[in-house]
Amino acid sequence: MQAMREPRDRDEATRDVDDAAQDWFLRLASGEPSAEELASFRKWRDADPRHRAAYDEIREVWNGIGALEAAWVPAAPPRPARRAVRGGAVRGVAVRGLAVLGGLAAACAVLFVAASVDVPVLLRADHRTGVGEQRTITLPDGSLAHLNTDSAIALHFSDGHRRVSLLRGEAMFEVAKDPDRPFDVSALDGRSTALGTAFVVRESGEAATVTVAEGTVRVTAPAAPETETSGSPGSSVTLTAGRRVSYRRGGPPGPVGAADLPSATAWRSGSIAIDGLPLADALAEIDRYRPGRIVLLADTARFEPVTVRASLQALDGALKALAATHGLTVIEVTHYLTIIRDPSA
Amino acid sequence: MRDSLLLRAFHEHQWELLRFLGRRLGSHSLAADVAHDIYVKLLRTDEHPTVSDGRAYLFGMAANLATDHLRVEARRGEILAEADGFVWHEADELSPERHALARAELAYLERAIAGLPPRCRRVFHLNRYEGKTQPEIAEALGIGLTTVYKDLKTAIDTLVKARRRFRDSDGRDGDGHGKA
Repeated sequence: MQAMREPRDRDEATRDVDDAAQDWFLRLASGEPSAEELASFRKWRDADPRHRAAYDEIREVWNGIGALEAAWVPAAPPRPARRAVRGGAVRGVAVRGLAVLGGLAAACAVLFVAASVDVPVLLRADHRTGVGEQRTITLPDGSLAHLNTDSAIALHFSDGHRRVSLLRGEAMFEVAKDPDRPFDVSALDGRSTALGTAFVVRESGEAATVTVAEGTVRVTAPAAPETETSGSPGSSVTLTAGRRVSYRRGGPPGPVGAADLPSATAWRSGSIAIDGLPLADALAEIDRYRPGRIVLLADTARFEPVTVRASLQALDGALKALAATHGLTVIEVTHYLTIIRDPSA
Repeated sequence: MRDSLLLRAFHEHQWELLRFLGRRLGSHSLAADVAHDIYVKLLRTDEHPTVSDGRAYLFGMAANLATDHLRVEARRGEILAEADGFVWHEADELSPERHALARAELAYLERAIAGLPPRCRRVFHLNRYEGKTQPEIAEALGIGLTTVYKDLKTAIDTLVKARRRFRDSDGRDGDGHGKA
C-alpha cells in the first residue's frame, strides 16, 4: 500500500534516498573506487528508480554549475556597484541636444549641452550606449538587458527586489525567473513589473511604450516612487505577449493595443523596421540611430506614410533612398548635421 | 657471493632494458618501476633456470611484466573511466554549454551558494573546480577529513534543494513554458 503512506514517511524516504545518493556521488567523485564499490553502486542505483533519479539530479547540478566557479571563491572581490561612465557616449548624447548650428558653434556647444542636459543621466547610469551603439548587459541576477541606441539604465538590486530605471532610450529585457524577487522597470514615472518574461520599454521624452514579447507584464503609471513599498497612486494594466501600451508622464496607461513584435524588436537583430509612419516620424526614428541630427526643411504632411526596412549599418543609404523617393535632397552639412530639404520649395 | 648470470646480465644491459620498457609502457618512470621489479625478482631468486642467453631471457621477462602492468593499468583505467562517467557528463566540444543550466536557474543557485559558509564554499571549490581529492583538501586547509566530507555534502544538498525550489516554482507563477 505505497499510496497510503503518510507524507511524513515520504519525506523521510526522500531524505534517505538523497542522503545515499549524495554519499555515492561523493565516493565516486573523489578518490579511486574499487571494482567492488562500482558494482555495489550500480546495484543500489538500479534497485529503485528514485535512487537513479536522485543520483542523476546531483550529477546534473554538478555538471551544470561550471559557469558558477566565481561564486564559490569566498575571497572574490565584491562587484563594483557602479561602472564608470564610458567617455565615448558623451559625444552622442551631447550632440542630440543641438539645434541647427554650424560646425564651429557645435564644437563649442557640445560640453555645454552635455553639462546642462545630460549630466544627471550620466551620473545615474550604470550602463549606457552611445548613438548607433547597441549592447547586451547581463544583470547581476542573470537577466539580460539589451540597450538600443542612445539609452541608459540604472540598477537597484537588493535581496528583496530587482529594479531597473530606464533613464533614456529603449531597452529590451529578458527576465531571469526568480520566485523571490519581482523585476521592475521604471520609465518616466511609470513602472512595469515583469511576471517572468521578455519585454521592451521605450521612452521618448514625454511618452513611454511597453511592448511584451513573452510572458506577462503589469504596467503601473504613475507609479509610487521607488522608495515607497506600497500604495501606487496610478492605475495598472496587465499586458500579455504581443500587446503594448503607452503612457505619458503623469498620466495613466493608455489603451492596450496589439504590438508588431518583429518591428518592435527589429533593432535586436541590427535592423530598423518602420511601418506606416508619417515621413517626419520615420526620419525621427532613423535619427535615433545616427550621430548628429537630421533637420527636415520641407512640408512633409502631403506625403503618404512610409514603410522602411534597413540595416542599422546602412542607415545613411536608407535615408538618401527615402529622401529621393519623395523628391527631397539630403545635404550633409557636417558629420553631425544632415538637412533634408525640398528643392522645389 | 657471485652474482648470478641473470644479475650480471641485468647490470650489463639495464639501459637497453629501460629503453625497451620505456617504449612498451610509454613512460620512463613506469619503465624504471618495472625494471626495479625485475631486479628485485632476480635478487630474491636463488636458483635461476639455465639460460644460455641472459640478455634474451631478461628481455622476455621485461616484456611479460610490461604486458601484465598494461593489463592492470587497463583494468584500473576502465574502473576510473566508469566512475568518471558516473560523475561527469561527457565533454561536448561542439556545444560546451549544452549541459549548463539555464541562466535564470544559475542565478538562483548562485544566491544559494552565497548563503553557504566560506569554508564550505572553499572546500567545494577545491573539489569541483580544482579536482582536489578529499584528503588533499583536508591537508591543504588543515581540517579533518570528516569536516571536508560534511562540507561537500552540505554544498551538494544546498544545490539540489535550491534547484528543486526553482523548478517547483514553475507552475506557480504561470511561466511554466520558460524560454527556449
